[in-house]
Amino acid sequence: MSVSLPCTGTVGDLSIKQFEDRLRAGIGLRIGPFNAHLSATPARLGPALHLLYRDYPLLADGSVYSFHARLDNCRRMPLIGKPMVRFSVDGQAPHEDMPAGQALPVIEWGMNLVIALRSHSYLMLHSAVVGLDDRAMILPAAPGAGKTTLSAGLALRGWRLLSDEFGLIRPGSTELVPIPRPMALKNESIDVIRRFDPNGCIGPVTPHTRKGTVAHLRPPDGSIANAASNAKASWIVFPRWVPGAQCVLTEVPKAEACMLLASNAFNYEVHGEVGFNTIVGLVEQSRCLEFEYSDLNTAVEALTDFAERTDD
Amino acid sequence: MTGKCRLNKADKNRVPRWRAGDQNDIIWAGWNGEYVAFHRPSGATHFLNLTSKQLLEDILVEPKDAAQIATALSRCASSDDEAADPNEIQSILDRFEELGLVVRV
Repeated sequence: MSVSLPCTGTVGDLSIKQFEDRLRAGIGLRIGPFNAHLSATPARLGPALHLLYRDYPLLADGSVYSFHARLDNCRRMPLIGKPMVRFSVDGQAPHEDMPAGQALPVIEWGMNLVIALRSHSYLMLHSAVVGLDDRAMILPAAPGAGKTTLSAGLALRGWRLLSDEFGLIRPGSTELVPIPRPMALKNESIDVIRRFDPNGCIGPVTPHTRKGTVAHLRPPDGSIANAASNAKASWIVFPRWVPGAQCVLTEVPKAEACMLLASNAFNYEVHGEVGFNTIVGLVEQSRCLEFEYSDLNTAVEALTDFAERTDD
Repeated sequence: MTGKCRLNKADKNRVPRWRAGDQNDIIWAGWNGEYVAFHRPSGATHFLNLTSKQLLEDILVEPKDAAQIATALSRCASSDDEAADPNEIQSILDRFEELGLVVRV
């Protein structure tokens, strides 16, 4: 739970230099339901974060923060060691130091880690979530199943991005809480999205990470502005990217969908009976489908057409 | 006699029986004959069919042995034919006992 003072503009209201200065000292950003305090010293990180977080609200001094994340320069050996960066949250470093050239993905993954480890007041699905009007499409998928690419495509075609990584639900509710973040595109997906929408804002490309080559897509206009508006679960779509496949939507029996969603949730066991009832509520309220696809354009058209034809 | 526990002949010949746990131990949700069940004591969630639900909610409210269970299932108009096989019933009971859904009495 966090209590915030009124927001004071957005990151884009600051010049890059002003943002870099504040980032070094520590800056507060509203990211979905979280008040994040970020500080970072690595060079070149400031302009990248200024680009990707352009639309995010700045928090006033004195805000109460959900977490304090830092990224600091360091070396394995003083003066001569390879330049590294150290991610820490509330004074603790949760993983080993990483090469300095990977500063941007390190801080992004670090914030994902903080959210995944700390946000147990929510039931957390490992899923992308996009919204059409006030209705949410949940896209649960294992890593590598293409949910980020698919959700990026939908978001670039008029859907609201609620998240490309976390489906957040208050236990007992059937509404998805937005937490739009820069979307981490990997390897071939970077060029797929560039071709899909040349006007999409993609940040610097970082090669040789543990997930390959990574670049981040800024959430499209409107996703951040509407981040305070929940969306009611309406569709649960399990995506499967299959090379050369036609788009096929197949109904998934609801009991099976419950089990799939429960196994997909990061913290289902933490919530016990309430988590079970929450999953049942989501499934009861939603159309549950498996979606096989290969071409992103066709997939986005198919899902959009399906959603627009679906009654509440 | 040294105080060791010795089975008498009646115990050796006793046919095992099973009983479902407390009905309040399980929360059910179902659609079209398929169910998910949350087992409160273990915190586990299970994917079960109609036959399993009939066993846990109805047939095993009172202790029964495998033969009695087979008879009861065969009387259920909507039961799954496969579950009437005594070997299948034994397999289900063994699994349910592992999961804590039934107890041997």
